[in-house]
Amino acid sequence: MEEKPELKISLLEPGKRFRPFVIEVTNDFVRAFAEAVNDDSLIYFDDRVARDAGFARGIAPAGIAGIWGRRSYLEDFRMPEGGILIGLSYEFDCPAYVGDTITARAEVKEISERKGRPLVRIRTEAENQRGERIGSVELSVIWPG
Amino acid sequence: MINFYAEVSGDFNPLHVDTEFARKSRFRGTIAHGHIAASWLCEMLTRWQGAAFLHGGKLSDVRFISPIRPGDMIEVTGEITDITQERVMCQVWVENQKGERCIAGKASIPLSVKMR
Repeated sequence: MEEKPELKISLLEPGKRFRPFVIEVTNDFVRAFAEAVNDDSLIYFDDRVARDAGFARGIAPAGIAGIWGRRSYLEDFRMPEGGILIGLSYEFDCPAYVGDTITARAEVKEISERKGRPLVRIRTEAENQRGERIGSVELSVIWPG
Repeated sequence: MINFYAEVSGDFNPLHVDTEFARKSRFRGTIAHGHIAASWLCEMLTRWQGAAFLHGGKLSDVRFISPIRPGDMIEVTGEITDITQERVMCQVWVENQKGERCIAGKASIPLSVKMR
């Protein structure tokens, strides 16, 4: 497989938009994520427990926002070595469920400087296959120079 | 956990998975992905408020104060800072076994849920 080009700082500017990132929320993905972060909540796998918590059925962990938020600008690129995430915000409008397809669209909002290195703020908006807004992720990343 | 998260997320930043690279960095060793800690905050808020957190909830101004390292024992917690007619606001954070806050941020959750 051809290696993706590095997403160098020279390729970034405020307003730059990336190709939409699409992810299928499968049962395997939810299980793998929950296991990876040591989250044993039954809310993802037991519809009765999920309904007791106010959901229609088992949901995907909210933390998957970290995956679609980051991959939304790295679908066609690889991150240069040494980037450091220094801040983030997540907003949620509705949960993602197993069987959903999430489409995430990223845009560079601002490039400033911190301690002599570029500080890039990227905002990603995500929606499901019904066009319902899942939420947004905003990341502040010190970019490798 | 860090390596498993790298597999699931596709984030193989050497600061997380390359012990030699990370040892030579300013972190002096591998560190956990920031999104792992963010997922713990989300888990706590979902367990606490259920559907309300995912229908208008926000986790904001999350700052990474100090790295979480392999072997650390972590506590995820928070406290209510304000309650209005519409929302409850909290400070939330992750601290290590030394009581040091590693990650801190704010959460805001609606008190009524418009289900979708």
